[in-house]
Amino acid sequence: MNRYLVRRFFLSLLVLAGVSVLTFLILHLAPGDPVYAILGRQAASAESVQALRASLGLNDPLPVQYARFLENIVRGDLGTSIRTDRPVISMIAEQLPSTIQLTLASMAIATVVGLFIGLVSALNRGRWLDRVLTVAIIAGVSMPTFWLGILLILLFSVQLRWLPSAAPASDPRSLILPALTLGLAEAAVIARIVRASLIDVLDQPYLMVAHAKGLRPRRINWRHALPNAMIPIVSILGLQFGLLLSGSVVVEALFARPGLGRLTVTAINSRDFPLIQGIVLVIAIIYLLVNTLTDLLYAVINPRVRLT
Amino acid sequence: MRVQTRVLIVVLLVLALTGASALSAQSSGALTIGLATEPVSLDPAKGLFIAEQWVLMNIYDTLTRVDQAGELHPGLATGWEVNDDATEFTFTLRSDVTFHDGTPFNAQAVKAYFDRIAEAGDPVAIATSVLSGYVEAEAVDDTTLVVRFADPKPIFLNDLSRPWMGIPSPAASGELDTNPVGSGPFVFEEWTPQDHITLTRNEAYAWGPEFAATSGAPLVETVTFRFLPEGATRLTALQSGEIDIAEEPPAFGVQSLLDTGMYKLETFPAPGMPSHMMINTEHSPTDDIRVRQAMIHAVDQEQLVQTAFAGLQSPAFNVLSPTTFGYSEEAANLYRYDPERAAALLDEAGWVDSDGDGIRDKDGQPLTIVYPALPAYEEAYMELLAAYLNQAGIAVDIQTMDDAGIFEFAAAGNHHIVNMGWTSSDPGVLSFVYHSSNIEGGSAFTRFVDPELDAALENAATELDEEARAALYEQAQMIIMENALAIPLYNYDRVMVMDARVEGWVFDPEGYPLLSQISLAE
Repeated sequence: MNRYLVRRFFLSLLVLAGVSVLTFLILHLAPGDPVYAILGRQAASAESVQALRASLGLNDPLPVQYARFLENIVRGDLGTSIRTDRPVISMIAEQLPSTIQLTLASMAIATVVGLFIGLVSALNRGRWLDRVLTVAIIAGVSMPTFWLGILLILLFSVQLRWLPSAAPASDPRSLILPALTLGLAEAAVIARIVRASLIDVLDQPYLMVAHAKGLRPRRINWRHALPNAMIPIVSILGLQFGLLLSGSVVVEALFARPGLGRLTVTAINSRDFPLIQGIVLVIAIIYLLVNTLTDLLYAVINPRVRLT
Repeated sequence: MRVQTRVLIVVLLVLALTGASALSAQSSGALTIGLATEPVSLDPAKGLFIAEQWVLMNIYDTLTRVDQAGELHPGLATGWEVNDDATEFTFTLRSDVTFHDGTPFNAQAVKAYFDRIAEAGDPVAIATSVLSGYVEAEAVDDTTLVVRFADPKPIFLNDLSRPWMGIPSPAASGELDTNPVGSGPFVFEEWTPQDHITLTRNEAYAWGPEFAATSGAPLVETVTFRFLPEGATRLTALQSGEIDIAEEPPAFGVQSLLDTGMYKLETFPAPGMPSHMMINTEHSPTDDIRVRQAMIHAVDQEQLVQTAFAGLQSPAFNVLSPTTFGYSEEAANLYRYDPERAAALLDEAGWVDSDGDGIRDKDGQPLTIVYPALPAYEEAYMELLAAYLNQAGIAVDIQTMDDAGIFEFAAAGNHHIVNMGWTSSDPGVLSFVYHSSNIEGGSAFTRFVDPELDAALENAATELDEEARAALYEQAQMIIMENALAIPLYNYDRVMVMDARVEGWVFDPEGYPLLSQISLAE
């Protein structure tokens, strides 16, 4: 188990190094000069273009800019935002809690609703309830979060006036609609996998044996089938976490919620290099941590993994 | 199983009902405005963006003020004298003004701010360009200030009224980015990034604009700017009562709102350059003036604004909008939608459709123009524009790219048409995009060199006589339109939809409301 941990750790470091190189290169190879983006669409004189480029250190060779970038990361300094002139690390720290809150809330909704629908659907396989739920799942998987969000706003904010559509973050109700939007879409994905996985397990010969022994169906389902069906679901939850983080880009903009997703859009639109790099790095770290945790959890609930 | 189904329904209902209390009605003293973008910095010396203008103009006061008709009025300066060549300005300042932090306003405070702008020399900031050629400011006494420039500054007094020239408290200059201190009608309260900025009423305020209904303390107690990047969200937030005013609503959602009678619309044709397509005069086929003229005649602006903006923007026919100083009616009347004229011009230039594919050609080459477009800004009209040109037999190669990509593409001269526009209270912005010195590395995307045009723009910038200045800008517009350098599309009308309870709406000359005049009816 320890060797497994050590190996996972070094693999993660390698992935992180790759992330930093890629972020750095992709940004600089993309067409367009960051100076123009900062000056904006609006007219700029030739003189101001030159002056700004020099003041940002964009005239240095790429390797020099990258070395400076790495050196600063190691020192825990993610640089200063070109757009706001503020430290990137504090801009991210400001926005991260809101996104984590949204992600965890949607994950809770996705897991509860997804597990529930998947279970009901699998245990009623082939019956009308299963068919209705399958249609709902397909609708949920196919519907863009943006659209679902607008529908929820129209229903709960405009028609019923129960929930704010774009309340300030200080209002706790501001979490509900965004979390529902993200959570319901992800619930559909989880439900589909739960259903498939459980149906798979229910067909296994050992469950037939259990039936033959005369065990009650409820005991078979909860004690024998479910734990085995959970194995693929745990790893899916880890992946879903990453998807939810990226889903925050759309949902945060739609509900005018502060967060890392919205910060990312602003950063990309203004080609705020240090900020984009910082956000990608932080998200990569979070994603790696969550997936490492998922892998460990996987090893705990599935003894077969420990052998490898 | 039936039990579980019921549980599912209950769970979903509980989720939907959590916090299902009715939305609280706003007290009439709190005004909430939904903005599309967020300020970057609240230090006027660094200001550049639209969202900043909204906030800055309410926190800071300026030395001069300009009313909606463009007339100059006293601000923090009660009077001024200008020497003959407009290089030395002597201001008499108010003595009864205090900043929000209690620091008294005086000539030293203005000098400190001007010195800071000049020293920082921030190449992007608007304040830097307002003070270009700055030599020194001299605080003769508390209420007398002399400002000297190396070159004539004919529009300095007007420029001083812009929000970037709002005077901050000298005691606070280190942290103005996030904690601004001015002397304006509202006091900065808090800024939660990506969420909101809140301002509260300056109870002591008594030095507001003389041309407004009230020059005293604002009528509402607080103003909250909410940052709602999605247009759809701004409209639904207005409908659910979360905001009172929505900036730049999506054009096609507005009418149904207005039909309810609970909302109203305020629009203002912004001065400056309207949205227009700059035509590259360097490459074939647009190096031929007849082709360029045909392109202008091919576009029906009246129809375009209806189709693309539900009529919420007004059609443009010139490179300056009608509310801009020096606007030339004559230049605006040179072209109107005329497909026959467009066809005749193209025939005359030798472009005919010889193979019957709907696209004109010459010497075996189809008539194709390259159009780098940014869907985020141009989505509403870019296909429509291409369709108008198609009808005239011109193929349009729309290449979508991002903002910086377009700038680089056009700066290298790879385009035939590229979009341009700039809201500004002064026509001086024409220089940035039509003076030939900005072809290399700047934004003169027409790549058109004409000594007469350059001279008109240069002289206008230093001309002291208002009439002569206007005449020079009129001449510049005529040269630009006669040479068919631009396809005007639509004016940037500022559009705001608001709750019908919002009263006392007045626009400033750049199209922002004077919030101190606004009240909310019960």
